[in-house]
Amino acid sequence: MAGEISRNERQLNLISALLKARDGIDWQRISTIAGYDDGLSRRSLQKRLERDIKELQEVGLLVTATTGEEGTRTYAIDRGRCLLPALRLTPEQRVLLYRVGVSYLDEGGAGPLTEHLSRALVKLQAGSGIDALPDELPPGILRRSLHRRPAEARHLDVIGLALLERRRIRFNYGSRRREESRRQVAPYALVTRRGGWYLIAYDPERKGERTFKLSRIRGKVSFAPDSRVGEYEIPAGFDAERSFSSDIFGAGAGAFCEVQVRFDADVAFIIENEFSGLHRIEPAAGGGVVLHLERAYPFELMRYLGEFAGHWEIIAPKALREQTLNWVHTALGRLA
Amino acid sequence: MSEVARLVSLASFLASHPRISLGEAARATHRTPQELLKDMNALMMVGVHPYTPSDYIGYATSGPGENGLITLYSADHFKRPPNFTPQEALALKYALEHYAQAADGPTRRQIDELAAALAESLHGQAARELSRRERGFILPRRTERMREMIGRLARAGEERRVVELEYFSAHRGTLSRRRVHPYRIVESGSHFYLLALCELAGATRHFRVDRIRHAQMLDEVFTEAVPVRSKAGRMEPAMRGRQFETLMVEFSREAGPDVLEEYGQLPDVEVTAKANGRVVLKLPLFNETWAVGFVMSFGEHATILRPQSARDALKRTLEQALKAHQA
Repeated sequence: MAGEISRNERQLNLISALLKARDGIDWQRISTIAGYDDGLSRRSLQKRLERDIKELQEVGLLVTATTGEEGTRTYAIDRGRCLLPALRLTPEQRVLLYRVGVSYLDEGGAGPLTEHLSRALVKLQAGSGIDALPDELPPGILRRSLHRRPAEARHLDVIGLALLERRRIRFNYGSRRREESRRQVAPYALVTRRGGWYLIAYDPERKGERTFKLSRIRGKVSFAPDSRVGEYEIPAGFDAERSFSSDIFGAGAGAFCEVQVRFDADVAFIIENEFSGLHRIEPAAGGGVVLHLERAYPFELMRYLGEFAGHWEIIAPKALREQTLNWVHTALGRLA
Repeated sequence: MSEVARLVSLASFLASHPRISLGEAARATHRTPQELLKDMNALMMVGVHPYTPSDYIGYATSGPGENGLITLYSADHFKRPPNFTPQEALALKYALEHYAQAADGPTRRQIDELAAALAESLHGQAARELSRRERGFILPRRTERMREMIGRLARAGEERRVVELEYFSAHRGTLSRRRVHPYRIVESGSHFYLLALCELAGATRHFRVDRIRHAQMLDEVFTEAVPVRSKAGRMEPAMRGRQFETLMVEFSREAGPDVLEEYGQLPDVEVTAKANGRVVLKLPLFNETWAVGFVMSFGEHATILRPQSARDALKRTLEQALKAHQA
């Protein structure tokens, strides 16, 4: 009886019946499916069916209803539109999909992507035929993680989901000037750069894109009250890299221009690892390198340089070099 | 509803992989073997009138434990999985993009081909989402050298080969050579780390991949079991790991309000505003190198009050900076 049938089981039974029937199923058939056979009024059961059909769309199964000449409604799944086509993937591509799954999903490293990504990968493995997996699977060596600090991870989950579902969100945001404002925005991208996550979003009230640092969000992030799935599209040509400042050491007021830092031979390779192709790097005497930055905010730069005790020297501009040396003297005085 | 979505995908997977082992099916469907068995039991209940045995989904396993082979009965109608939802297409697109950022040349080409094949095969909004060019998750770009290094270390781990590293230790501020047994590559925050047994230390260590100058794969093979995840040791970057002290930092009146705003709500962090406008931050200390960088990032507006070891580390760093500028 219906009291013993869970919603999951009822919906699985319905999917099973729909997938088995070539020409769809009518109400008479539906009323024999466990979960629809509990003797409630036709009207109540019909409402239950409509709710279930709506929820099946979330699985990717679109159920269509057609009314015949005698007024009989028939429900069917359009296999052509709703089922995954046969995928012809090479063995290497199947291994790649497996690797992606293991690297993100074993320890929940995919963060806000986890649930949807897991289902997508399982569907792909299922859809690529009976030889979908090779005889011997490679060990999962790589582990990826989209998460960072606990406080950010909490926001990241909601914003990530909103980004996947294209739904607006709202939150309170504290600016650098310590002013708090209520924001309701459409997320376009999540960006991580040195030490933090940033949200790029369209703010309708301010009629433009804005960047928000997740650690400056106050309280909780929630979906906008009237938001719905797929309510906006990200404009074609949107480029998050361009939208987000590429000045990784900051570019605001107080930033120095045309900064040059020399690194010695011991750490030159680390600078090349991080900045080669992004910023100009020139060879220096003794096997070192000089890193050129268009702009840098002094203390964002210091935070990085702190990792290379004694292996760096600020060459230009002169004012930054002097400011740094003055500060070093003051700081050493305090620590004496 | 996600529960039904998970179960339908699983039914498709098992129906199209007859006689797959429990262990492999669990790994491929991102579940533990126990979770897989539970989900298979949930699928066993599925059936429709007239309830003959062939109308119910059933399963059998043959063989012991995770090597046991699974056979799913009466589930052929689930063989073709449902098409992707737009969210699934986007999640896959974002994950492949992210994966490509650390992949070497051949793997990147493979990812591009896979994404193109999928966009061509799928239909509706899912295909449109996969074909779109804008990116949702943007992470630091990796240089070609880093991609090659990550690929080489991953291969060494898969082949269980001992590797000789030349590594820059931020803690010591020097380059050194050591032999390691590579176990895993972990991306956390903005960095990649190699989890490996260091023969010199006789224990596992995390080596930041961008600080590895050379990695030479040796012919020697290591034979010990790779530690299971729970025993593999935790990352000890900035704000996680084993706390060994409490860091106390004092900020100037100018920096104080920003610190209050930025750190005031974090768990395990205590921020106190003093009458003179200065602010004192107390937080767990996991890593002194991080602490030095953190305090330096505030310049003249911050100083370490305790512990003495962190004050000494900051002093050493500043003295070395001074020396480098006077040379």
